[in-house]
Amino acid sequence: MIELRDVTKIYPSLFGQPVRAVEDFSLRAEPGEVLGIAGPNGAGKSTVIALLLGYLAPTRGTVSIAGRPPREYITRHGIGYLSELIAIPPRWTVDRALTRYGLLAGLAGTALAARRDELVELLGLRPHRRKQVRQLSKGNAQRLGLAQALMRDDRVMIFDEPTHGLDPLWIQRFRDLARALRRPDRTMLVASHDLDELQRVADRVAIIDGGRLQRIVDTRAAASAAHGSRQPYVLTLAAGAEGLTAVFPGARPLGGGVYEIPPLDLSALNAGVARLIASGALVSAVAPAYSVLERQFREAVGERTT
Amino acid sequence: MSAGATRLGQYALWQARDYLWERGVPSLLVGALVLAAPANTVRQAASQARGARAEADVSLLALVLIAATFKVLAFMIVLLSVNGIVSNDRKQGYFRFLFAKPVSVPRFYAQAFALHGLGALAATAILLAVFRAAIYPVFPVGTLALVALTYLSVGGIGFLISTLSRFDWATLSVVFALSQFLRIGFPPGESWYGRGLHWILPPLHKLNDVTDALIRGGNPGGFAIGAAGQASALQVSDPAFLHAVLWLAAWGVGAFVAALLVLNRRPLAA
Repeated sequence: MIELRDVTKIYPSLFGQPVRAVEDFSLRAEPGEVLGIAGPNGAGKSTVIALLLGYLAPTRGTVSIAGRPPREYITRHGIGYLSELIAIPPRWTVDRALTRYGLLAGLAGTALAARRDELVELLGLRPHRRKQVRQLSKGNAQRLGLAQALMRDDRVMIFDEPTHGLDPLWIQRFRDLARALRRPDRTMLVASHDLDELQRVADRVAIIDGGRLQRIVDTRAAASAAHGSRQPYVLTLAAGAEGLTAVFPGARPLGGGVYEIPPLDLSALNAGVARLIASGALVSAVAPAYSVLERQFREAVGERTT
Repeated sequence: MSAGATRLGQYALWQARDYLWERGVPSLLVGALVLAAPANTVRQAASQARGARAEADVSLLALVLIAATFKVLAFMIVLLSVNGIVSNDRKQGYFRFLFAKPVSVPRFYAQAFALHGLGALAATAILLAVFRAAIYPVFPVGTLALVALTYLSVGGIGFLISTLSRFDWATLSVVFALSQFLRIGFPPGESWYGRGLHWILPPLHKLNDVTDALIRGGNPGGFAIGAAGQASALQVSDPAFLHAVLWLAAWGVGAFVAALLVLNRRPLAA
């Protein structure tokens, strides 16, 4: 459905070196799939998305949606798109913005009004519908951006940093929404810094760094495989921390009764926790120090922060 | 007609609304300011005029001043109407949501260009109507033809530049200033490259030539206004007038078509 094949994008520079934003990049997302894109700042995520929308042309390689060049596909069918930057003219009100986008999306009359009202309710914009875009908070503007992306029942949806600026409640609601949007004939692409979110939402996650695809992580398979592998854990104790280093040598306090346990396999972890409990400690939580995706990400791009 | 085209047609109402607030009202304000001094002159002359001959002189004065004012004002209204027509959406990133919808980019902006042209004509008509109602009863319809021709030629070039540059006002000024400089520096009668430049450069001098004839042509009573009496003055009936109008129109249409090709071929974030 969505395909980038051997794509390179070089930004020419009047002075200095041309910038290679994306290099020899190939990626394919199928109908029914939610594909995540993760990468540090400047990794090339935004360029990949601009290429998919036809807002940039590749220097080399091909980009296609359903076998057509992106602009050709979008002009015929449209896509649901939420950009990282919510660029809506600041004087438009929420209602009018949705009416305009709905009209351009191919809706009209009562169907347009009904869809607009439905999205206003779904995304909690009712108290803000008469406000101008410039009066909206970051989170409300983000929800307006999301609403315009959902105006049509599109078969391709691209969300760039969809939870940026949202509060925890709306982050959770976005995740529910993303699950509800899954459909066998729909391809969704979600670019995010939030690896936890991608782990929950995406089937596969493409990790990009330096404009190149570093690896593709199948989130479900990786989660199963992780059960048997050695990894660091975080252990929270309510009481009895004195005996911790005897059971888990190298355990490091993180504060507030939380300790990081050096990498070990699942059976060693269980045996250690059992000894700890037997020694009188009260264990309140044990969890992997990093999610599967975080580990893959760290391996792919090193220890730089995202 | 496809559903997309139908919806885009309906979206024209929103584009017209945008024109009204962002460009129409400023055009009217600028027009009112620029016309204020000539209007005052005509009002004073009218208050002192006695007899049919004096009335005719005031009428002629009004037409002369309108022609002189609109030589500049037509240009200003057109610049206000086309400046940023494409580049604003690119600069501000508004294109991102607009063109994720099933909308043809060239068609969207072609429609905006047409609507802005109608808006420029409407603003001119309102200014003339107010002048007629409040200052003196003349309404030189040729002024509308002048604005239409200025929009087609200068506006067409402005539209093309707006597709190419994010700083279209500045770029357009440089293009026009440079073409005037080259035209003066290399007159067509003196060298082969002067003749070449004469054909290649934007024909702004032609606009100057046809202004008087257009306003005069729209008003039979204004036969003596403007550059009439000078050897270079054009009449609407002159073949040279038609030639100049066609040259201007061809430039405008050529620039418009080139702009649509750019919009069709060049990615918006490039």
